[in-house]
Amino acid sequence: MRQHNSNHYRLLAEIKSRIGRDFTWFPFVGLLAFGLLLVLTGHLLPKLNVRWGSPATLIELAGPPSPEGAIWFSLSVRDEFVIATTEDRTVLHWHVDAQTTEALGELRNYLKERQKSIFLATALAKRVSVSEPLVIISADSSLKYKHVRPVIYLLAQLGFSHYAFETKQPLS
Amino acid sequence: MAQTDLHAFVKILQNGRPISSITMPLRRKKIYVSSSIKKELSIPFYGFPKKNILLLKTKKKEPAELVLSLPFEGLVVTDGETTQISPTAPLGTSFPMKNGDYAALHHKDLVFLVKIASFVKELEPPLNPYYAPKLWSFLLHDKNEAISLTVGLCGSLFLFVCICLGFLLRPFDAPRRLEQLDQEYILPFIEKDTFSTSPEALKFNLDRLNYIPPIVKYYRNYTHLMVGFPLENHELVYPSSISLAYKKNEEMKGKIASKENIQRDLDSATASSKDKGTLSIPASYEGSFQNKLLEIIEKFTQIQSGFKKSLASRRFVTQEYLEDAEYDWGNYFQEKTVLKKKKQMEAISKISVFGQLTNEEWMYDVGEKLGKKAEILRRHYDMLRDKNTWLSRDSIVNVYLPSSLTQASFLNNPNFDLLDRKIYLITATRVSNKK
Repeated sequence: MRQHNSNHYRLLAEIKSRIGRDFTWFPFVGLLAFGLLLVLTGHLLPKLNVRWGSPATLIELAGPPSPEGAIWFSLSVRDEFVIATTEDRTVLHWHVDAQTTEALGELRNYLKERQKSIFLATALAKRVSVSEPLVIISADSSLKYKHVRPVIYLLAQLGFSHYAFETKQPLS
Repeated sequence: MAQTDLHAFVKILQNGRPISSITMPLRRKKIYVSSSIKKELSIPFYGFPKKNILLLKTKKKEPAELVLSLPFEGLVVTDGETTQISPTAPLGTSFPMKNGDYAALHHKDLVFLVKIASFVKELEPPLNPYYAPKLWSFLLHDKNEAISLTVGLCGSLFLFVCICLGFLLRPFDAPRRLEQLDQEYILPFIEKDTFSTSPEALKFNLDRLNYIPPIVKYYRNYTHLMVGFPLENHELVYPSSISLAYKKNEEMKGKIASKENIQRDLDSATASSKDKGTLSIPASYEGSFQNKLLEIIEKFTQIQSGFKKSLASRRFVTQEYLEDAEYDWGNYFQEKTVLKKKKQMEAISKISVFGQLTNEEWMYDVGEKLGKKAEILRRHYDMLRDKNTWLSRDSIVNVYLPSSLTQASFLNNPNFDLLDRKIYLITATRVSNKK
């Protein structure tokens, strides 16, 4: 009969004990993956498509694809504020009960800066694409007319005569 | 081995094989043997006289009670005394069960084993730390390593802080504006005439070493002047152009203000009337964004055409220009005092041994070459991008509203609360049957 205190039995018991324990370092591998995911979702993916991470939930409605080069921003409502998220992830906000377009000063400045760059590009190239003076509003489906109205009036003040609302192409 | 509180152990065997068991700490509870599967000790579909047979009553701090609810045969050991149980024993007889007491009872083919004892939990033997070291032990094995690591960490931290500070304090040289980009990135987006006419446009501000940035600045400032944005570099724009543009803007502002006043009066008159209402139309006062873009294109086409004609006139028509000193590096016009001193040098400088260009010729030649390069790149870029239609007068339609319009309001900064009042009134008339 094999002695229980033999080396073979001791090693076997130790290995059994070792592999029977939980491996406590695995969360670090998970954390590494989580970190990479954060970097990807936070920096890389929004650069590929501005619609990534947009807070607006769009209505599903078939329509032509958005033209390239248009000014894009999303509109959504949160905590009594209308939130506008621009292509470069600038978050602008104003109160939902804004009674004049004066409350939309941040959006006005942003659009003016965009206009400046389009004016300059047009002056240098002596041509401009039809889509560049277009504004595409990616409006959340929960928005009401009173939320969008100040934006429309502001666009008119700044001379934007062409604007469109973005929809999501339904899956067929 | 670690002992815990007293527990009741009950196990039922059928023909020697365990079929049901329960282990529970002593608390106020009754343990039944049942033919239903819902009870803890269940023998499904077994033919008991009753559905639930009471076997054991347990209490928290008192002895448990074994109840003979079936005609059992066997033995009960309590306080070291053995009691033989025969099937003729009266039903409902009970026995107190303390720590260490047990019973073995037969009923037909079933054996009931009952014991009151402490629950013994087997402790896991300690693991050899060689196989499962502590979390950070792979970094630090002994004291010497800890010292080395600490020193290394301090050194690394110092270097890291220095590098971070270096990054923070370094001058920000990333391009922020269009003119700060390298030439290859801007060229496809500039029209060739913009380059060829740049000496005429920039004059003193022409910089042959850094050709493109002054051009971009010039067009930016002139564009700002046209659309009413503040100027960034006044020296690039003619003072006469500034004063003309300001005068035009002021006139336009005055006209808009007077028309706005008329519209406001009409709106207030409509607001005070109960029977009337107006539609509010978001409108642009000084033309749309698209109109302004087209105006810019047309204006710069005219300006550049003027530059070309001016140059042609200067070269071939006006004799005085030919007698002038030629353009020198960095100077479009030269001062008269300097001219005399330089005349002799210029005569020598015009001798071209290898047919090289003069400074003035170079000035235009650089513009022409950059223009041609830009045109090639632009064509290549146009081939790569999607087919896109360019904005033209045909692609837009302007709708003009008269200032005395009473049916609609063109104020583009109205008070939304005032606009909604009429809508509330309309809702009220629809709700009320009397009105």
